[in-house]
Amino acid sequence: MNPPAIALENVTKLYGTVAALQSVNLRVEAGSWLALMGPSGSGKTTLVNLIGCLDQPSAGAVRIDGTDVSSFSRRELTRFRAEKIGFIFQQFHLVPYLTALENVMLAQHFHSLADEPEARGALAHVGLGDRCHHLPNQLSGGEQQRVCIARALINDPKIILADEPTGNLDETNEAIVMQLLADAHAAGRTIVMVTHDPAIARGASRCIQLRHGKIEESNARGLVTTLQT
Amino acid sequence: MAARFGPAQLMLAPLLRRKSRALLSLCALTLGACLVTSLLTLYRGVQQNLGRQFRRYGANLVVTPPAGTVRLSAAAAQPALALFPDSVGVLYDVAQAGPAGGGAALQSLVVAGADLTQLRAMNTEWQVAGPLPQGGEAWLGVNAARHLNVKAGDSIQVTLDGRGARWRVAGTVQSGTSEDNQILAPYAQVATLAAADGYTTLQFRIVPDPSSMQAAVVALRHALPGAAVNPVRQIAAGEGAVLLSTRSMLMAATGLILFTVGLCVAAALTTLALERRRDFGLMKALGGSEQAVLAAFVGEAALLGVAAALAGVVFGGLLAGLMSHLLFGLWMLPSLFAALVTLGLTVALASLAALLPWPIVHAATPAAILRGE
Repeated sequence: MNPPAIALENVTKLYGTVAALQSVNLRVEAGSWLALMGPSGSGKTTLVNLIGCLDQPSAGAVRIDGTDVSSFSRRELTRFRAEKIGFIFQQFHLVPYLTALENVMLAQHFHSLADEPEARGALAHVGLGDRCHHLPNQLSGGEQQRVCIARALINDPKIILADEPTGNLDETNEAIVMQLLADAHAAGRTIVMVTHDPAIARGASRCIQLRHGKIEESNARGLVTTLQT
Repeated sequence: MAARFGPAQLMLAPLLRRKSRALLSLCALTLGACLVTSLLTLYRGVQQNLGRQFRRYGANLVVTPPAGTVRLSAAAAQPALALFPDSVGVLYDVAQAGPAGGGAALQSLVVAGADLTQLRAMNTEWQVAGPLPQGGEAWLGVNAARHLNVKAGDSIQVTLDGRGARWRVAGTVQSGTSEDNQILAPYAQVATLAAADGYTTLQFRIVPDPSSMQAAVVALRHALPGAAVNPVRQIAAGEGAVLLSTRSMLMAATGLILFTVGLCVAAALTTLALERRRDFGLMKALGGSEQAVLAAFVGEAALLGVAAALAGVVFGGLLAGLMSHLLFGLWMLPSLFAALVTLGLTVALASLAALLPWPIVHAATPAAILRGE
């Protein structure tokens, strides 16, 4: 039996005396698409940080693809992150002095070796084959987000973490991005997506709500699952 | 640039595409490199050119005969004189002199015989009125000319131990030293008059640093056993002190400039690092290690240092040329050594300055980037 892509076991994250997450348990099967909703300050970003190996829990265990990363050093987390996880940010976070192509190749560079044809292919896949040499400030918001998606997918990660991926986009680009995420999901990747928009959350196969650092409920496309807290 | 992507592109891209951001650092580094190049060039030239300037003040090392003898033989002296280009042998004696054909009483004056071309070259500070004496001619020190009441173009009668000669006064010499009271004539004339061979003193102009002077003393003592080899302490020590203080001042100025430029560049690069904090965090989120991210930033600064050093060597060379022309009257160009030292110092300075914002790189956590902090 394959391990879940993501498993959180009694995870607590404290910032000083404030508990951002309290004894959270979560299991995300490989290949699933999870929408993560909740009001500001509910702990969504903290949860994504832990899943993305960007932070470590104060207590509990975080297992990614069967590996407990809770006790990893910073260096080990960095390496693990490069291998397993692709990030899509609401603010795109492209390096402003690198072209679209170089931004994609940057992820390749930190993973292993930059491969230009492959990076061009990734940009062509998101519809930006003719924008390879544009700098981020020469691209629209939707185009920048597509570069971000190409960068997230370039190293073929098992898990995609998308933090409000359509938060800064118009409807047209929102649809394009959601289609790209659907394609990634269809290709077998596990997606964890933070969103405030229920309509966007419906694109996921599962949805959970966070409130005050605890998972309260989950539903998506009419599916309701009771989640542990 | 898009064809490949690696550390070099990661370092070059921000420099090429965000030139204005790096401009302040580049300007500061270029200014520093320019000044370092020019000071190093002048430093190299100080010894050579101050030595040349010091030649104006005459000999700084004198050799006199061994005790019990009055002269060094020409045969013994020539090898010692040949050791140093700035040297001259002088034969002194005391003669009776007066205006030729006049009834005035003769006066006792020191007659100095030497290679006057060489003697003049070693004493460029002398004010000489008149051409170099040829056969049958002599210079008179200004005091001697006044005492004898003669001027250039007149003739004087000189006698020594019953031998007499009539010399035409080719000109006068004002030295501010004992030569003002002497008759200076070509060596052969004085040797004939004195019926003597050899030199009363050998005079040398040595590069005025302690090691050169010491080496010269040893060499001359070896070449002239028994002779008294004496540096002219006041001149040698004074010149050495001037040389030392000038070099020290140039070194101190170079150090101060580097320190000031270092502070300026560190401040500029810290600002740059703060501005790029988000990019650093992002790179770490994408799997870049802290070392890789820092290395890219330091490498970027080092490239900036290389560009600044190249520009600095060019501008510094021009500055050095102008300054050396003003100070020493000649155009000096930077040596390869000065260029390489400038390159090394500038790159090292830029790299060190880029290491100072390391805490900013360290603190740029990917999690903070996700939070939009």
